[in-house]
Amino acid sequence: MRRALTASLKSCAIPGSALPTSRYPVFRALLYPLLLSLLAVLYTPHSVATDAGKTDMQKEWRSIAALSQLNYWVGFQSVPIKGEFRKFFVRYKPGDTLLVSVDIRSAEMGDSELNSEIAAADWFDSKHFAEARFVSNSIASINDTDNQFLASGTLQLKGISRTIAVPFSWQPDGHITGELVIPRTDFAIGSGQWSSSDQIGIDVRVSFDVRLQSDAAE
Amino acid sequence: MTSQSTIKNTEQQWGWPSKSLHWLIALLILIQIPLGIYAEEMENSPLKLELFGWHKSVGIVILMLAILRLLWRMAGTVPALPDASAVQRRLANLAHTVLYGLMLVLPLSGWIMSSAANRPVSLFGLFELPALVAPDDAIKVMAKEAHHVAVDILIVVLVTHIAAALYHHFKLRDTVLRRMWF
Ligand code: HEM
Ligand code: HEM
Repeated sequence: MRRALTASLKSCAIPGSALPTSRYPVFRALLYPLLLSLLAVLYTPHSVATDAGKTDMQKEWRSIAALSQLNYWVGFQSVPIKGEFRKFFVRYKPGDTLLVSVDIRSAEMGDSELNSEIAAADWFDSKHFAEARFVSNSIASINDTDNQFLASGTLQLKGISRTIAVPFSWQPDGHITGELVIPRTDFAIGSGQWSSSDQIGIDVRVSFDVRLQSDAAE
Repeated sequence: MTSQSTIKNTEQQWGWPSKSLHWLIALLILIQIPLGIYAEEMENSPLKLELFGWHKSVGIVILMLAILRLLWRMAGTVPALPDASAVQRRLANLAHTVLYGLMLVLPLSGWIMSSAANRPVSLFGLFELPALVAPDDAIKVMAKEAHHVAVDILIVVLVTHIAAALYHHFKLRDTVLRRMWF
């Protein structure tokens, strides 16, 4: 019995191990399981924690189109009227990157004449600039809260790229909401005779309410 | 013309509220028609939006004045129509009823048209009026049709109305125009 145990322990001895190999078989018989369990105790919780941290940080969340809204309000003779983008998607890696892509041709203002008007060259010129895209280059938490963030990055709209900051809140169950104001003239939207604020306001309020799902959840 | 103007209408004479409302509304409508036609012909531009802003505001003022005028009319007497054939009286009554109806239908159809087109209606930018319907292309087309038909009827009835008033004054030489004047 003893010999058999010794032999089996010998056979699993780590090559090059500094541990004595022949003299204290009983000691070794206890030492090896002890060491192994110690290793297990030390490593298991630690490795689980880093694993979880990793997936949470790098898990990519994608918007669920049917549950997401991207709306805007623009002053029409000082009265805000609502428009929305029907097609857009958001990708979010918490605390890492926020990407928003908007199909400008999906702009909907509740009236066929308004829709064709805003698609024209003076406005979105959506024939030539079908996509607007925001890509963050940094995401910072606002006032050290754990759900308010500020994404700084580049908005490309109607072929013009500008740095903007997008404040948003993030709920870890996959919910992003936020609001910002974009002066339309920064992106040549409403050019020429429309560039004054006389009839159509300059500041456009944009608000988003986006439900996302993570890759892992699929 | 020498008769004293009263607040209340009498059997022979319109009171000053009725007169003022008649002529104020008449003036606004005679501005409103060419303004609407001119603005509609224009290419889209900030000026076109501005003119329609005026058109809509003036139209809403007409609506409010017309409601006031009808309430005032219902609250008191109305001068009797002058001696004329039964057919003439009936035509005059019909024309007046249609004109009152149009003073309501025109602004309301315009307001519905604007709401259905997701465009705001405000009173000279002072305050916003609520949308009467949610944005909807089909409703917009119907309201626009109603507005245009109402405009056509208005022009025909108004030409007749004005011609009749002038006929009474210059041909019949009766008091019909005078009792409406101040
Ligand atoms: C500028 C040209 C106009 C003239 C010369 C004119 C003249 C008159 C006159 C003389 C009367 C009195 C009828 C009576 O005493 O029985 C009258 C009544 C009336 N007018 Fe005019 N009018 C004019 C424009 C308008 C306009 C633009 C409207 C509105 C759309 C209008 C709507 C009416 C109505 C509804 C009555 C009947 C009042 C009642 O019975 O309560 N008129 N008009
Ligand atoms: C008594 C009041 C009103 C009168 C007499 C009137 C008259 C007119 C006229 C003559 C036109 C041109 C139509 C044509 O060329 O056939 C027009 C168009 C129009 N009106 Fe009015 N209107 C009145 C009230 C309103 C109101 C209150 C609104 C809105 C709140 C309004 C909104 C419009 C609009 C949007 C158009 C353009 C229609 C189109 O694009 O085809 N109107 N109106």
